[in-house]
Amino acid sequence: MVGAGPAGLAATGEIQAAGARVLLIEERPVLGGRAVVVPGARGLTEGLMRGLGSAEVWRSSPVWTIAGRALGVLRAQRIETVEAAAVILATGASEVMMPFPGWTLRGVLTLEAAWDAVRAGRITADSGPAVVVARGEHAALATRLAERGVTVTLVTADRRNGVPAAIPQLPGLLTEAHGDGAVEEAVLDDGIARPCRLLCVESPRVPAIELARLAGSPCVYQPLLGGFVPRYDPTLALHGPTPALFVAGDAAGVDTPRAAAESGRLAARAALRLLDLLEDPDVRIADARERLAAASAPLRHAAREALMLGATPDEVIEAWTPRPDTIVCACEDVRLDALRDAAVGGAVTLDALTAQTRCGLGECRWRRCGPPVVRWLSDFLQTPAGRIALPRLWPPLRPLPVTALLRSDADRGDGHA
Amino acid sequence: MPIGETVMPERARGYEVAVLGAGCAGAAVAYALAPRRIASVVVDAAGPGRAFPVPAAAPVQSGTPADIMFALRGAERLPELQDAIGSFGYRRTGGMVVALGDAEEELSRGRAAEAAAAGLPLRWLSREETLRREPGVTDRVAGAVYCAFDGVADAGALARRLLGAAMRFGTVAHLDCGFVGVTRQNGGFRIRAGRDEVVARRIVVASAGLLHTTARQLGLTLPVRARRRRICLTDRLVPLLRHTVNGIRQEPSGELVLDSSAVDGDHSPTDVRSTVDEFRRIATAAAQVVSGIEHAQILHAPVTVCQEAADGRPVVGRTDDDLYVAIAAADHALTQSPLIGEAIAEAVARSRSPDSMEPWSPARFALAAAWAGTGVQDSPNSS
Repeated sequence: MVGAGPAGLAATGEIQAAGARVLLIEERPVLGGRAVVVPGARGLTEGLMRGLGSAEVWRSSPVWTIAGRALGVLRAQRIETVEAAAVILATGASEVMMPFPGWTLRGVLTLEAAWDAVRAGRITADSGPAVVVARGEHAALATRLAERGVTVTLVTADRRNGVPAAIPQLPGLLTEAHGDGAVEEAVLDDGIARPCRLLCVESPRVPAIELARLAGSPCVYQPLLGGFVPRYDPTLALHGPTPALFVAGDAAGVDTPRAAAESGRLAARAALRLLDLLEDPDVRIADARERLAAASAPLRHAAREALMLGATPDEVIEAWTPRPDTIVCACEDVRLDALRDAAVGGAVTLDALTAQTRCGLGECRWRRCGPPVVRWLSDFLQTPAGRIALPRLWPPLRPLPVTALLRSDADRGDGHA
Repeated sequence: MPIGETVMPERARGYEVAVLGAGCAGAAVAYALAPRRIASVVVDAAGPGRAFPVPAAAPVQSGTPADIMFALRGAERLPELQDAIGSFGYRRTGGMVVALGDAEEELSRGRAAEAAAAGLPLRWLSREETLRREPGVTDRVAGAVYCAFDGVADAGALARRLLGAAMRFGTVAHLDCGFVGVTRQNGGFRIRAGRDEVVARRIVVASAGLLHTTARQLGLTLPVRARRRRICLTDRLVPLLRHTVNGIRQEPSGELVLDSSAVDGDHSPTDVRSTVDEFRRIATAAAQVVSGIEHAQILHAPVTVCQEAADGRPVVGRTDDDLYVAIAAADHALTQSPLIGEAIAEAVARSRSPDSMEPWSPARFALAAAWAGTGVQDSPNSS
């Protein structure tokens, strides 16, 4: 079980309850994934964590490669290989900021990163003033920052967000941020600059599909599910060369935390059925599918169902063109005009753009700049986003310390079922 | 000049020369043909330079004295070429191949002496001199063979620059066409390039892979092998290395590049354990010669596979019916391509064999009954 968000936790609990041996691997030091920062989802996560029972859990253990049903894991500065009869990938989704002038300044954060900072206790009254750009329930971050003594301005399109009246709210759109190294002011479309040292911008969540892609799964572009998602069948089994590989949670398409948990259960039951460890499999899988449908946002449910039945999503030409001087790739400081020049010269895939501009070559390897570049390229070429070739992937998907590689084979721990 | 542009009227367009392959060698041929006013077209299923933009090693000091001489003459051309066509990231780093232990020291000393006797710019550095020139090398070193002409460059950028320069002279390119096929026709050649078709009186095959796939149509077989290369790129480190040491070098921006190149039909890791073993080998080899590498992290490790002649040497020559071959060795494409391009362009212009390339003539495979024969000796991996 890769990933300990709601999907991973629910699936692990389900497998544990069926009496099968399960190993839960989580990249981050804490369990719960994004759900620990989504207001209202903490209860769900805590409930799921109680269901883990005696399941073996590896924290702070990034999975850096996959081949068949074998995983390469980095754990406590050691390289471990894990083989399992079935593998469920619940790698979640991450918030990817859409570049705007100034987005790479220090202090410009996604909501997720801001919540992490809040939880880690790094936010004090001195961290402000802050500008939060968020809609609906996501505006709760503004409330939390204010509780920490930060002066907050909320930029939001909708008024019904439950944020106390004491926090000033503005309509409008963020256009750029200014500052020298760190952000100093945010500029809205009314042209007026708001001073700030923290600028928290709600950003689209994009499924983390690299492991599924490295495992050989074909992907399709479905904006309703957050972008590129792997193809899977009605039981969340991945299409591709390896059987007994499943996907669950936001990695299969962004949805609510509760839907993620239900999809984890569905994938777990499907895996158990494959291994002949599930009683009444058809009934229980049908039950899991119903519960997933009930927990999903309606449009997302429809999109996921269509994908499960093998339908090809409509071809979508995205519309997004930032200012030419906007930095797109933060790792390598590549500006949009450099990408445009390369694209005019024939570099119309992400790999070709990397070859010519170094875009995507940094540590994040397209994780941050990939989704915006796909959208921009789709717009620029007037090509459906789903037809843009994704970059080739090679292991390691996560940084691999040379020290870990230098440890001798003798002290290597292998062979988890 | 949009690459991949479709320039097709209803009828196949005619050219004097068609170059198959837009890698370094093919682009160099096109670049050398362009000022000679020979109407040429370059076709490739992919390319040019779609590879991961990590500067590849442009080593001089490896192989036989003849190989070294070839690479040396090529390396001498690269700076002026860079001035002429624009930067492809070439820098001369100087290179060391270090010796660890007595046995290696003796071998390396012998190699340096032999090369020096042949008039090649290789020399043996003592342990002290090695450490003085390159403090990043482990102090367990016994010495090193040194060559000032070793360097690095971005092979993809070189191919793109060469082709771009040729296209400014009017060379046409059909790239990324997905499929390239050739048939002989009326003493010339008809070339399918994706949806396009061109005809040419003469043809230059500048890719071992394309030669392999079109062998039957051309009646020309070359034993080829696949060279698989994994290039590991670390995070940005403090300056550790000035030279290329055993193929390991540091980018100006701080990343170390660890390179492992192998000829392997049967060794592409498809399971996690052999992938781990491969990374362990690369890391161990690097840690043996470079101190301070323990703190690095490998961030990217792209793999490229390309075809080369089975003996790992360049193949440059002409058959009786105006079919030319211009193929570089996979690990030496940067240094060999400019010379190969020149020699082939000269040969095409005069319709004769590139005599200066005699040692690299494809005829050497005739002895193995492969040249213009039927049997394919070695089946390559798909790239």
